[in-house]
Amino acid sequence: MTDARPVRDIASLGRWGIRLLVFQAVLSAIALATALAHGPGFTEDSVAYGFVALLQLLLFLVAGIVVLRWIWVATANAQAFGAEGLPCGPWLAVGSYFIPLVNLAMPFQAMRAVWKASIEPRDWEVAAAPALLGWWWFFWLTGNIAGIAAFRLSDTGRYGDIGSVPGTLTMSSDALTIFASLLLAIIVRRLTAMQQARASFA
Amino acid sequence: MATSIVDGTVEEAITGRSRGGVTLFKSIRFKLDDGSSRTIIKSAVKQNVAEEITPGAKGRFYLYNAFDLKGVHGVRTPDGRAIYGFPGNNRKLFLILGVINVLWVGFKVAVDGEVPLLGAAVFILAVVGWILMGKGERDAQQQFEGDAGYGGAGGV
Repeated sequence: MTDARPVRDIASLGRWGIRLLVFQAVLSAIALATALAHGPGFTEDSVAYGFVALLQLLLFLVAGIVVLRWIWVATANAQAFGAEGLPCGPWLAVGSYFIPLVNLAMPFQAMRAVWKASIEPRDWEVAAAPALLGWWWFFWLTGNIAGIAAFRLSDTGRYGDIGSVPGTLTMSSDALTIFASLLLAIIVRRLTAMQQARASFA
Repeated sequence: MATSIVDGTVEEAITGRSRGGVTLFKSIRFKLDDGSSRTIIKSAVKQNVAEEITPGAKGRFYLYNAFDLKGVHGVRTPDGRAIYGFPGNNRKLFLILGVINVLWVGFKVAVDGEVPLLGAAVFILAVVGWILMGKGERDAQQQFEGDAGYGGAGGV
């Protein structure tokens, strides 16, 4: 049997996570607008785009730490509600983002399980999860794939000059990140509310 | 790694394919002794344990969750029988995957002078998977052996 664990307060962490994710979406929209305004060659020539990209990187790191901490607490809370047999404990739910290939599916499975367990902890596998989770994961994966492809293809020494492809992929990544960030913000808001309601009910 | 115990009765067990001494259940629904239900979907169960998971079977069921695999690894029945079996096939697969990829990475470094990203990624996955599956198996065995009093104590 699972030991009794305390339910942790997730509200404050959730609020910060939502703010940072919305800020990330806004910054991605600014990056996209800057790139479109500059036109081809924005990654090399535009000082404004370079500045926004630097801010994006810094915000990604800060938001990443806060959201990963939120995921840890949300998973621990799901266990504290009595959910047994979750695919990931709190550490693996966070660590799965850093394991190659596993990070293509396990973070999504972990988030879906925590959502289900927050609805019906005792028999969580039969609870329904909304399509929202699947859409978030789709935009997160495609945005990352586009970003990584843009980064690698911009190495002209290896891949030669392939024209506007890296720039187009960078803009695609920014556009997809807007949706991924906003959808994750909605997930954080709804899941935080569900866990708070269950904690106060208990 | 998560292990848990279900005291109750199997209400429904839908089996999928069986291969390599392991039965994959599409779902198993238990009626717990406290009146609630618990369902596990897509579970891997060793053949000797799977034979005990039939509708109406009553007892204590031991559940595991090891990295990418979950299922039932043990059963104790009210008449004192104890059945244990952990499907270790995936751990062997991770080991084979790790060995193949370390050879592949070594070959590419020797020939091309650079580390292939996919090979390195699969190697890391294999190492993590092998370690976590091993830990899951040890936890499952410890849980089962540490709860040996169920049948002898008079059961449910």
